[in-house]
Amino acid sequence: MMRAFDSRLKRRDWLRLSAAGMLSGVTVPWFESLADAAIKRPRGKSCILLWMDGGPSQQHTFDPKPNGEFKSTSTSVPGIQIVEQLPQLAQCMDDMVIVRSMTTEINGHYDAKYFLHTGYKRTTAFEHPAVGCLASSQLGLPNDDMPAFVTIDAGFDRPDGGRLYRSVPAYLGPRHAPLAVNDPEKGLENLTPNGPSMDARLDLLARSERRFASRYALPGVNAKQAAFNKAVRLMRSKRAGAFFLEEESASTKAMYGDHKFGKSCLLARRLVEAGVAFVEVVHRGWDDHNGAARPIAARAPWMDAGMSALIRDLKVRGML
Amino acid sequence: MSRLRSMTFAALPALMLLAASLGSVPGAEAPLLESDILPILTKNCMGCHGGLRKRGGLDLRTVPTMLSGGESGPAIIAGKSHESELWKRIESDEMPKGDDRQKLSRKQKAAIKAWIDAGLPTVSAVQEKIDPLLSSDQEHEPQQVADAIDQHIGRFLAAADMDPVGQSDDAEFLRRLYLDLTGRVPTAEKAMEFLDSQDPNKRGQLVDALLETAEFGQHFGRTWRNWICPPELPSTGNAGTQPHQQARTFGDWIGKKVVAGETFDKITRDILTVQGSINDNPQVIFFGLVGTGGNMTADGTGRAVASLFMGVQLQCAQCHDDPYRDWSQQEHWALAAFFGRSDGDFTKIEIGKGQSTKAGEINITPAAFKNSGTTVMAAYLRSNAAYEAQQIDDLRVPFVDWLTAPENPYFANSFANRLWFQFFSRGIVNPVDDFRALNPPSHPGLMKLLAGEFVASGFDIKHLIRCICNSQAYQRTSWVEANMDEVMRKALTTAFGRMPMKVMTADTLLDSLKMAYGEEKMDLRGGDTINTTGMAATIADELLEFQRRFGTNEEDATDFTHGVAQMLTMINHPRLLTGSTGLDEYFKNSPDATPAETIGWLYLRSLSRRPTVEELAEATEFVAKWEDKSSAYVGVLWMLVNRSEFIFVR
Repeated sequence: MMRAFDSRLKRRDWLRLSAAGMLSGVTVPWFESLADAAIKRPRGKSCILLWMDGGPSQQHTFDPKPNGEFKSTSTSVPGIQIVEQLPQLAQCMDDMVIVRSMTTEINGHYDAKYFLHTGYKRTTAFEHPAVGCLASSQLGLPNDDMPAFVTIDAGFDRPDGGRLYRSVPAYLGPRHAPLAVNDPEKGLENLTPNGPSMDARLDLLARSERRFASRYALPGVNAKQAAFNKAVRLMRSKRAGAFFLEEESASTKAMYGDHKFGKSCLLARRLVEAGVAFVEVVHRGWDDHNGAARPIAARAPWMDAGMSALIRDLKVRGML
Repeated sequence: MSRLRSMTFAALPALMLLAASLGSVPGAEAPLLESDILPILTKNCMGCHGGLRKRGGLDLRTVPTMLSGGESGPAIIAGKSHESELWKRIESDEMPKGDDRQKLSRKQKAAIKAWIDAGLPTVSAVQEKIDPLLSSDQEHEPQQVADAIDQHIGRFLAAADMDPVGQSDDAEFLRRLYLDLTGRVPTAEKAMEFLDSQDPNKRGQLVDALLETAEFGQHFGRTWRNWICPPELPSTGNAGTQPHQQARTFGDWIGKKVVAGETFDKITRDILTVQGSINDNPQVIFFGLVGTGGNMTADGTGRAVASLFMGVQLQCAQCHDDPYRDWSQQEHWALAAFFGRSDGDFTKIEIGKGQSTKAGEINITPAAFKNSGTTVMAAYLRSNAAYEAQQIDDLRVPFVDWLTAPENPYFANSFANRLWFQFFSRGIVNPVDDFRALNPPSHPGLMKLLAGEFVASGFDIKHLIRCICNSQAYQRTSWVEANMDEVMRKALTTAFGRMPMKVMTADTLLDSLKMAYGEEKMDLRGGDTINTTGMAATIADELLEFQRRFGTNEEDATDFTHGVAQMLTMINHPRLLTGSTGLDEYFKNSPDATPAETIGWLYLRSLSRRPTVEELAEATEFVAKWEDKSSAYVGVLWMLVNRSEFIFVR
């Protein structure tokens, strides 16, 4: 019932705005408060993965060594120390868990990424679904406007770290593939209705699509029309505003930092808030090997800002 | 009488292979090895008694190895289940061994018992006797072969008690043929010409005409190029090493040869025996594409040659005997040995150096976890023709002599099956590169016929395409009655009694969008988010990026795999909404065109048919509401390319 009411309302808004010629440009002004529109997910039912591709050196981040290159600093949890380059994260320690015991026998980047994303060692004969795709299949709401799994490209420092792992749904099927945001500042590509008279065009299309579907009642045709309708629903959803950062206040944006990574973290928070089950932020270029100190020292400020802002922000909103 | 017998023989294995999709097997008495027994053994037994491990010395992969048995003697005795060790052990649940293992069900046990008692019947034995209907001694007229194709399929359908669907209408055939042969939709003018022609032979004539176009070559070449190395694998534009530009040039090289009428044995020879630099020989890249990290490897080449030119999967046998299929590690390396004295990368191939220190022998590499370091001598794969050591470095030449000889058991079968797969989205043998005795073809007579005709024609690619495209099987409609249930529809499609509806591949979708909009180039990436650095999420090469985003299921073309991201691109990408060069030219050349004419023209160049009365009325009403006529018609074009009918090949 609720859904039917929503769609009527949307349609009216749509027609009004169409008539007023307000459909161009990035901002879609009738989005209501995201928090109101979002489906309330039970706590612990969504996840944000910050994937620092290439593998940050532990002694330059969360596991400082006595004679290491970085000095350590105490944190909000007595007895736990991390490097002093991450002062804000140090203050969030009471909301963090550090696992220092993890080891691996896999020394190839791609195979290791595969292992950590799927839980299985890679073989050439079979592909396993990525964790985000699994979340989509287990936690995703089938008829939800929002996608269940979104990946955000937070850019890169340098083009190494091996082949990029792209989350694949494998046997779960393409409906559990991630929706990819290529640039957090621009939001989701092609989400904003484009071109004149979208409604009239969609109406013209819908009539022929109905006829085709009744003539060809095939799984492929059903899948096409379902994907298309889901895309239209997302495009028209109030909650789709979560893909854009405009509505965030200047102070919130400042807290996350000006780096693409921080913006990705902010976008991740907005998406989880709007009901997305799993968000993976990927930043590439951490394959530092020897001489990790200098590049990590340079990255630490924005990593510290982005990660700590995300933790604080989630906590304030009761989402941690 | 003998005719009747052969029909029954043809039908029986066909039925068995359809059994899975039909659910029941009418009229089948004894279980058959391939369809009924091997699936049980593969799942429950071969992990310990197969190629990888032979516990108790027992190998259950083939009938001869079952008969010779292991330490406890023969595993089976034909006709006598109660004396067969295999039966005794599974009946008592001693096997599969271990309390935590699931034992065989009553039904599975019954099948194995019945199979042993029936004397170990196999599909392959039955199939050997099947008549291909035309002799392979001479080439036949395409229509004659097409008729024989339909006879084979007709027998299959009759035996399974299924009726094929009717013929496609002209528009359906036209669009399908253009997309299958040239990889793009026809122009409005070409479509109109065909639809309006009264010539009873116009379908055959169109096949002939399209086989002479450059687009046919381009599409054929890129299909093979994609099979050799999928374009979405990491490439120079995507933090990998695959040089996609040169790989495309290689595809074009294949295509030009095919259009020029070069035969497949000659093209194969040109690829597999090439030497020198990529600057003079685009096919040099083949070895890098199937190698490791851009470098040629003898074993990588061997596996690719097996899959692409022989229809055989040797990938498991690189490291150990194949656990389930009857291929040994020895056989894998014996094939690799032919490529051991050539070396190179994407850019060059040289003879006289490489993995082998001596021509004709190769050491199993340390990457293999079994038998690494063992020396293996070159040998033709399971063939009557023994390889005799020769004092030359380039053993690729005698290998290709053997491969492309008319009597070679792999070459013609493999090509004919891949070609069939291209048109019907299903091979006669499946997977297309898994030819072996225990994975028999669904239509054995058809397989023999096509391979025989390919040999007789001297490996004439266009000839074999003519034979297939002139058949009723190819020209059937994809439409099915609404009341046909899914199981029946699948069975009918598997039997080639109905044409499946395929999803356009990334290549054909992009080219068809270009045709519909009249554009030379069509970039559907996200504008200024394009980043030219290697690790970028968006690839600098627009075609490669499109292939990555709109890639389809390579094994099942009927599977629609696109999701919200692809649909949003089609709905909102500015390129599909801001205008069409083709439409601008149309208005310039036909300033007096009526709305009905313009709408009809747009239907022809996107869906290759004229609009129905209802469709025309809807579109006319839509257009009439707009001030700006150009935008109105672009809106119609947008609607057409967003339709299911556009992205599917009927």
